[in-house]
Amino acid sequence: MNNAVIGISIGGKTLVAGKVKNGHIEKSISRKINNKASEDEILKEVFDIINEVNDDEVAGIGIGVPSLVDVDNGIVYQVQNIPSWREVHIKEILESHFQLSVYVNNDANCFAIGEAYFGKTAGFENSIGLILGAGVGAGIIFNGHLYSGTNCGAGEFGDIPFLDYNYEYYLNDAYFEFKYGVSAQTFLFRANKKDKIAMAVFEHYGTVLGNLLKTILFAVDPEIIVIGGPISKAFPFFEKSMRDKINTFPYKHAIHKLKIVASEQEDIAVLGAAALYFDAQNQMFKK
Amino acid sequence: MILPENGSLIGVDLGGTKVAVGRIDGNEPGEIVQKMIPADSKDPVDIINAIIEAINPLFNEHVLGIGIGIPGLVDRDEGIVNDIQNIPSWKEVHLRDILEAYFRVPVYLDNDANCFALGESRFGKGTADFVGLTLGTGMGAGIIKNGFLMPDAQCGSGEFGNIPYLESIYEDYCSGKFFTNKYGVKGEVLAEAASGGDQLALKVFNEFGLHLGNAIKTIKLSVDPCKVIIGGSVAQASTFFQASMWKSIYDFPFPKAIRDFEVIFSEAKNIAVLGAASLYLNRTKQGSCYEKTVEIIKHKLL
Repeated sequence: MNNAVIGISIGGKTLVAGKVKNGHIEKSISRKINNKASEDEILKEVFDIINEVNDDEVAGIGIGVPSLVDVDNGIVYQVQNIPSWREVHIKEILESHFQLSVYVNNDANCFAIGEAYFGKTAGFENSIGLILGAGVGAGIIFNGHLYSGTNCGAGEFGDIPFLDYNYEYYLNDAYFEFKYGVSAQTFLFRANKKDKIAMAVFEHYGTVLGNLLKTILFAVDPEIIVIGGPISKAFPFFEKSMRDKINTFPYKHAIHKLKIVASEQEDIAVLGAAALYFDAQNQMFKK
Repeated sequence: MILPENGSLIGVDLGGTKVAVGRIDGNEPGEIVQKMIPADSKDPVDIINAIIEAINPLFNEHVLGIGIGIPGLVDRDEGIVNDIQNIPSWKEVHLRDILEAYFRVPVYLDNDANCFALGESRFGKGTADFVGLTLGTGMGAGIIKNGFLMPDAQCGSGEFGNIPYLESIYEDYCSGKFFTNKYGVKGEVLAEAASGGDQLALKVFNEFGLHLGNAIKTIKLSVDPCKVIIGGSVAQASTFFQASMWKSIYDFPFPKAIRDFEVIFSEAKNIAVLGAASLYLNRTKQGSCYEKTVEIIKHKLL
């Protein structure tokens, strides 16, 4: 953890890079990108932003990408909102260019490992980091390490069927706009002003989320779940109905010990990407 | 599997009406003995005595440890059986402490689905990473990662059967309950009819396969294994539901992820007992009072 590492978060609209040292971001740059640009043009943006935070102390690079990832080979497939990135061998490309170890994973896994190293789930062996935003996905931490699954597809709880669609359909932020014609942000603003309708909307949201959390409990039985992403800011408004739903879980002593918290780490995407490097180093050390 | 030379392990599969016990000597599975248990007895001690009596004839000085598979809720770290199917008198039974005091070797408890998965991993078709799914009167699963059981918080992972599905839960559609609850006919009876070409029975299994495929997709989305191994009594009818099961799985949202995905059916015998015995080999993350006690004694003596 004494090494400095560059963490990069590649979103559909912005690129964020930071130099992380001793659990803190020493230098950080955020930049809008043209998501319709070619594969090489966006790669050049990634090179440029790395160059701006890179220095002699940096030992490795971690990258979080909203896509399917071949973690072992560092290949990203069909990146969300970046149509030209269908299959990018980003690990190979960056390693040969910068002569540094590069680790790649999806954004939900980065969030989970970031919270485990630098956030609310630090000190727990088994945790889940759940992102509620444009998508609904989770990263699973077992024995203090990221559990990615065979195709980096573990934790895709959002795609589990629920009612007539799946959990992601009912819990992603576009659903608010689609269902009520009002954005999640607007509802959050209103709920903060004690608007009864906005509060009722989040109460309903909490019930659906409670069902998803029960599903996660049945599947992987973690000690703690940390909720992140833009909708997690409404945690105080959906917490009660969420917990009421979870309390219908058939095994009472299991939920008695479970902790559910909201993320408070604003820079978690960059910290989490950097944590990929620390996680990989610690896994190697264990072996 | 690595056992010290001359080392033996005992595996116990506790069922609702009987207990099966087997010994593994030098990595070779031996004879399995079965004994009826007085499940309805009001005194929990009667059943504990029956288990001890079943283990006794197979126990010897080479036994390194005892593993027990329980069809119910287990507190793995504390060695407590919280709740068990078909044995109403058992509530919070400190089975590990009781058996360790009697046999003086470490004892490990886990649920029966986890034991099935571990058994397949050591003695069956298991690989380093897979999910062992049992379909019988209920639906349970054990998750194997790097050759070991997933070290979850409270022994509760793999309870996919309880996940909400349609108007109830997966277990109602993907275990023997589907046949009895929806059609009022036992799975065995339907399987026999299907073997004879009965169109209705074949239609029921076809429908079962579609639901099971949905359950497998949920497992894939949750923990992304490269393989699922299905065991339990319902697995014996696999020829009648395999085709519709795959039809349902191929509708996965990430086609690339299921290209090399396998679903196979267990063929190993006595896998529950062998898996329970293997708990000893899975013990790294599981506390045993016995080992702690030995450590304390050593510390005091030295």
